[in-house]
Amino acid sequence: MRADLPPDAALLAQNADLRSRLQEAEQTLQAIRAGAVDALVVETSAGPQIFLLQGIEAESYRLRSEMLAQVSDAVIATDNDESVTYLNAAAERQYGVTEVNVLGRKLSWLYETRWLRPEDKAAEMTALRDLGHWRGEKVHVTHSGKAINIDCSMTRMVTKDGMAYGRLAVFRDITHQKGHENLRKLLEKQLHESQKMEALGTLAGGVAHDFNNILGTILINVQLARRDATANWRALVSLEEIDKAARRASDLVQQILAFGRQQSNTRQVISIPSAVEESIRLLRAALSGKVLIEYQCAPDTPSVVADLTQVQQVVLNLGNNAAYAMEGRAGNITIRVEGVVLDEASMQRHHNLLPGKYARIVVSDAGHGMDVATQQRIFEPFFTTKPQGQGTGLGLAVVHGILRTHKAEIVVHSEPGRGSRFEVYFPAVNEVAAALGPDTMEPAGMASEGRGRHILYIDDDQPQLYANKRMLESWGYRVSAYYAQREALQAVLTGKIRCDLLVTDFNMPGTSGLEVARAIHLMLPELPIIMVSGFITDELREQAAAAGVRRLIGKPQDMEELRDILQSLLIPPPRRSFLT
Amino acid sequence: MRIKSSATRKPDFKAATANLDNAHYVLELYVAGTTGNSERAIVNIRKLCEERLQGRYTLDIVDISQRPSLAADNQIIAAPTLIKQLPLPTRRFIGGMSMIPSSFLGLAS
Repeated sequence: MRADLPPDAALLAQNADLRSRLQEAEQTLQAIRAGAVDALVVETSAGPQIFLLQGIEAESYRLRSEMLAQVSDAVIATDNDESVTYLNAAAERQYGVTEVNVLGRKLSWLYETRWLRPEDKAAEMTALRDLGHWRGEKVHVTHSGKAINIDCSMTRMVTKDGMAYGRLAVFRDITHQKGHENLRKLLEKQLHESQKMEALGTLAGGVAHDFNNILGTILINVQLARRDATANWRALVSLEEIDKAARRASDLVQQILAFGRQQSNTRQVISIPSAVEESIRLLRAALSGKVLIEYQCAPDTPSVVADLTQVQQVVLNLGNNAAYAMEGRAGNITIRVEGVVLDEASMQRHHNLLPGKYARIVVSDAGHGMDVATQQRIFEPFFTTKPQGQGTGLGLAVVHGILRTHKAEIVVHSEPGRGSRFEVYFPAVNEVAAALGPDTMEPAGMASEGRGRHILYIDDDQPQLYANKRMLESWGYRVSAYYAQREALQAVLTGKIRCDLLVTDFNMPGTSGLEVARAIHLMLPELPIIMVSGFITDELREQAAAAGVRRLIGKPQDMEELRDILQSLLIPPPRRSFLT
Repeated sequence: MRIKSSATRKPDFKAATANLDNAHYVLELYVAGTTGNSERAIVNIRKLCEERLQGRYTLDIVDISQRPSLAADNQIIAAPTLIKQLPLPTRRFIGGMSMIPSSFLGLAS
């Protein structure tokens, strides 16, 4: 009895308290009958004891919970309001929570969903409504900010009467697996990209080869026509224009061949800073102060084995692109050369680069930048973002072709509105590479006339063959022209014709120029052989030398070069006698 | 097991009794391990609190199977049992709380 209350009031309070306890006891009994109580607290001599009420439903519930607790994937049940009604131990670990702290909370409290494909959100709702289940991938961002790749399997839970009362979800953590898959996809993409560029290079090279033949014919005929039109100055002006246009086209063909790795190159040990500085000088002259170029050179930049002209071409093309991107914008172009050492970790970022030392050329601009779609296409030939008529779309394709022949790599960083940075990695020179000397052709000797010497000329391209024949004849040579290799071979090997020199095209259907040269060289080892090709490579040089070819000439031929070579091969240098 | 949830500030007796709309609620839920009724009770009471008392409630979840003495101290005779300590008057509710009325918390239904 409470001492501070009057006796009547105290009795009333005691009565109310007893009623309340009685009500609670009745409520407890009702709850036990209804199966809503799991445990009773009983006072014993040893203190309070907890007695669990183990009904059939409770036992079944316990078994279900124990089984789900063993599942290694996160299992979460929610009600129709998306409040969590169950989660297993794996879910507690995966999301860094405890069950009692999550039960009754909205699922959105547990994690934030990021859809890999926006359309999946609606697809999930539709599938759950119509089919009762959905499976797909998504990303969960937990309370702590950790992103988890999830393979999600979601099922709508329904009563026997078909009433939906919630969802059961199994969330498998596939972050690790996803990492491997992303790497595989990246490698596949790189392989695909490389195959695409290879195919484009072959295609472009093939077109360029045919185009070369046509240009050769045009240029030779221009020279012949000039001779015939000496008194007609109008015709001479037109011929001059044809000559200029054909030479411009020839330059374009050289660029295509550079992209297709079919351009001859001369490798030697070069200093990257010297090559880049020369290119910057040319760039500054071309840009005539419109854009400033800031140049930085690190003293540790290693030397590389490369074709000097082609390295300069790379810098010129990247510089020109940077200048174009800077049009109408403030800022400078920065060109930096430095030495870098790539380790295994760096290799993770640049999968085509092996660990080792590189000379790096970085060309950065503060221009308009590129989106991802543009970046994926910039090295394709004829792809350009410039207005029609302002770009050939070959600049970066040429860079790509040159870098591939040098086993060099290019890495592009760019964002729209935030400029671009092109990083070019040339492998640093090593001892073996350093031993490689320049592979150059000596200039031709002095000129003289043909004096009726007999030349056998083989080329499957008839217009070019006859144009060359006419030109050689105009120099005083006698020419037997064949467009069918086998006929020519037969004529020589049977002694039907006796010639002083053989000129053969390399790329011909059926028997190649190499095979022709090999067969004739075997029979007539002293006969000088010249081979003409639009695709001069180091490999071809070696093969040609082994087949007895004395000289290789690029297409379209510079006729003056051919003239000099003919004379140097046919007219031996004068003997010198030394008086003692 | 004793979990405190959504404790945003210490309960203030006067403020709690002055106005139920702004009062801070202090609730204690006594459960017996992770049994079906206990889990349902946690789900139901937390859902109710999140819907009606968000940001102004403290929910202590006490597992009496781990600490039976706490049950005796608070005169708990069955689990799950919910006790509303504040705002006054103190009230008790026994069972799975699937049908817990809003009036238990002194809220309009």
